[in-house]
Amino acid sequence: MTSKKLLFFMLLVSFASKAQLADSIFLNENSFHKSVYNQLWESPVFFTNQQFSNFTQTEISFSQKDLNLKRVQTALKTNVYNFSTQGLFNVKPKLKIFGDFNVSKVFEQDLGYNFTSQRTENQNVLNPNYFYAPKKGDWEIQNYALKAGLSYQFENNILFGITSFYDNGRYFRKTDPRPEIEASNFGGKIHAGYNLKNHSLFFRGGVSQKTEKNSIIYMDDTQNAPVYPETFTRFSNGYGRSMFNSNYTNNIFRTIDNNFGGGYQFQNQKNSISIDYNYSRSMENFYGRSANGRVYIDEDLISYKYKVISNVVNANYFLQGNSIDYKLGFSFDQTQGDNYSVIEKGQNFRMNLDKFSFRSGIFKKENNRVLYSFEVNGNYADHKYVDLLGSTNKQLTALEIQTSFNRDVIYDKKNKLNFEVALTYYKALDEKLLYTAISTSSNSFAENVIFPDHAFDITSKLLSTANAQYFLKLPKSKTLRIFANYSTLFALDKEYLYYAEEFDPNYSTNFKVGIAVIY
Amino acid sequence: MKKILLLLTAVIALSSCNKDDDFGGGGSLQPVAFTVNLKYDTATFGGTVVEGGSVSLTNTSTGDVYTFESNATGAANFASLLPGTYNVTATKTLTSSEFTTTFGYAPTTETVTFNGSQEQVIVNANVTSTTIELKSARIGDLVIKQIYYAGSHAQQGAVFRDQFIEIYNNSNEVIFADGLCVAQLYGRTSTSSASFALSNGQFDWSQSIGMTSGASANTNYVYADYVLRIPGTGQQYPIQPGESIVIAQSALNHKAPLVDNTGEPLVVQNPNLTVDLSTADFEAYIGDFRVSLGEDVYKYDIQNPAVTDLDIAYWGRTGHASSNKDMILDNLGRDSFVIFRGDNVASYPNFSDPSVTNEVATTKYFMQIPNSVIIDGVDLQHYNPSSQRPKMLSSEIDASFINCDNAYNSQSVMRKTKATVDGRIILEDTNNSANDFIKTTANPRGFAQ
Repeated sequence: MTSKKLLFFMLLVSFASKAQLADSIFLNENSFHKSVYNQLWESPVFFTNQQFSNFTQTEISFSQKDLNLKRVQTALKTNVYNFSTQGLFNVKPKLKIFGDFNVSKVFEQDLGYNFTSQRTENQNVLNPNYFYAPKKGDWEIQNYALKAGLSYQFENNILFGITSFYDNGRYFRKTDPRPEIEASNFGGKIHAGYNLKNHSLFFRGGVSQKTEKNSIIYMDDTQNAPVYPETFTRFSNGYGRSMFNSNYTNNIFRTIDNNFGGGYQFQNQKNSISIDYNYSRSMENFYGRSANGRVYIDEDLISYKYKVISNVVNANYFLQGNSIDYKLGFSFDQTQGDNYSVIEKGQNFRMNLDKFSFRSGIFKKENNRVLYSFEVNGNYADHKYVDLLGSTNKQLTALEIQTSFNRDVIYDKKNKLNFEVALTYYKALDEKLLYTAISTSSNSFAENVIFPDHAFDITSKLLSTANAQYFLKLPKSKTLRIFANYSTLFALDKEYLYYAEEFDPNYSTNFKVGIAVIY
Repeated sequence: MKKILLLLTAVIALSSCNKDDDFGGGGSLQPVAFTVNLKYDTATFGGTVVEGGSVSLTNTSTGDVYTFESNATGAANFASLLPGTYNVTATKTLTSSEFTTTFGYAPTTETVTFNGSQEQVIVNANVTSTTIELKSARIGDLVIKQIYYAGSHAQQGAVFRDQFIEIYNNSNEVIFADGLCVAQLYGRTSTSSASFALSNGQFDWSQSIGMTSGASANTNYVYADYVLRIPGTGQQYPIQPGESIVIAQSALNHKAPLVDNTGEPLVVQNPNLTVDLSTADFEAYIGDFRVSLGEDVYKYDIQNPAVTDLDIAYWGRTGHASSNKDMILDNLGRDSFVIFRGDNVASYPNFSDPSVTNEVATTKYFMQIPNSVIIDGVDLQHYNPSSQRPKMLSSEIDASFINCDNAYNSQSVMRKTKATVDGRIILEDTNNSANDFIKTTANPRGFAQ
């Protein structure tokens, strides 16, 4: 990223940092409005006429996850120290700028079978094409991420928006084998449309580029031998197919994502209905070493590819009343991933994920006090992962229902305490896992990753969460926010026994605490 | 505004381009049928098909090994093989009577072994067969019995100082070692493609500057980094049947505390990890040669005056000496070794490797040794299958390769015991190191059970 781009991001964020509290919806206060804030980033031109209060929030937080009930390629314990500042500023009635800046330091313990920057905490299967060794190790990660956005309606009713981001991360493991990843990801979208009275129509297009430079070293290189299977580095090419790959010492992953879409919105004084569509096509290329041992971006050095195409449709309704807000949303996300081996001139892995989601909620307020907020959300997801050479065929249909309730239990001129409880129920409705050992070299991965992960995926679970937020009015229109949340994830049945008798069903916990200043 | 709309249109147009050719039109990778056709060497045996030949396919990406026998038409049919790149080896042993029946004349030995190999064979839906010619393995009376290249633990052992090579008399007659040469060969350490490499990744020596041998530069010769020769008048160093000679890098008891050439003590914390080479028959002492070049004696090239030094038959072209400071074997296993005898080894030509396009003062040159003079040879291999290198030896010398489990693990590769006749141990010798050797704890003059 050039220094000019960085300066641009910083300027946007600092603009937002000078915002003053004003009127209408505070997007940063209640979890009810979080989805609205997310939509603002996706379709900013839909919100040029929406009344959001200016805000700036600077926050530090600490979270600790003890994930006993988890998939294999996720750390057992994770500590995160985070600093973030975000804001939204109405420069003019129809011109908004908004930005995020986030810095985090992450310490992970006991992570095996994974030398990537991905984790299987929120995805069932890692993207194909990655290095791994079974041995668990501790990771240290540092990330910073910048986001900036703008939405504007010109005098002639032309709508214009821009969103952009830049992320940078460094990941490294502290025991042999020692992968180190330097990641950068930047991109942007341009949104343009037209507003005619209550109707808005827009199109958007964007591009992003993610680059990960990877290296794996050993302090004791003799550990990288088949005779030590725990530390021997292998390459996963699909879901079950494991290979040798000499490029572990040095390689590059580069992903180019092109996307476009459009949407329509009807909006009057209180109601807003919108529908939008987004198409995304990303291509991840794996670059190995050249004959002289160097790695660089060159078509001739690509040995593996992974293409992901997704089509997403969102429909949202939002009612902004004087004392009550409603929201209702539906999404359908159809994603397909295909790998390709340039060396072998063919494909062995395909991922299909069809996901239907709905969001609904009601938000009752009195002046600035939240009398109650109640949400019901759900996901219905149909997964398929096939590795023809692995040889694995995993299918999973799962339902997830989430309910949450929060209210301000204490409210006066200076103090406010909001308390929230949430429950998420997960159940696998249908599943299948066929694994045929056609290669002796892949059995270990299947036994230690594919089967335990499927055991996790088919087990019914309940996630219970409690959140508390305390707001204290400070002089000069500042507000102090102290928050804490705690969640636990329990297994509700013993379905896991069918695929992994050794599976440990003990619960997972997640604790987060933080303090923020809103000004 | 027009510019913005134009930009947006361009982005959309770019994104919506037809990308069906992303994957070059490749289809699904699925197990495929593959056939290996075997025939005897066309030049010598007329290309007769090989029935009952054993064919092994090793997937270079997974290490999976598939073995099958050829049928009456010489075809070994693998019904379901994962697409990928394979190393193929094939072997067939004929008894004297089988040989006579097949070829119409009697061989000079009780059995005749034929070997063939191909590296980096692509198997996919479009490539469904390959043909391998089996050549009769050159069975020598002297064989390389043991190569201890892995060395021992860097802190607790002797690292690489305790390396040795053992040569064994596998015949029933006394053989004199005088004049026998041991060569460490030179080749590429990666199978990656390059303009100066063959399809298996090995150097295409026909491209070397000054080479006149054409394609036979790759098939009829090997190229040596250095060559050491056993001295003697011709009948000075006999090797009795069933006996061996040990050639040490440094003929010392590495289990005991030593002092290097700079006066620094060499402490071995765990003597069990290393070996006693004080009774070795020969040692490679390069010190005098280095002094003649104006270089210091390598600090670990510690001479034992009680053990005979090897002669240096070749240590690089004059003025372009090899950078090796001693007979140091690659601990990782990327060497190949041959033993041979030649009438006038000093007259063998030498060439730079074919990656060299402009000869300069630092260019290294490698001695060209004809396969015809080689008595035995062994291709070693890196212990990490992700770092495999191409073979240097042709299939009639060594059809495959062998490696230890690791570096510095006190292991050697040792030839298997085949039989014991009248108290004399006969070692396995099919010129197929994967079959003939095992990896075991290094043991000078020991035998593999």
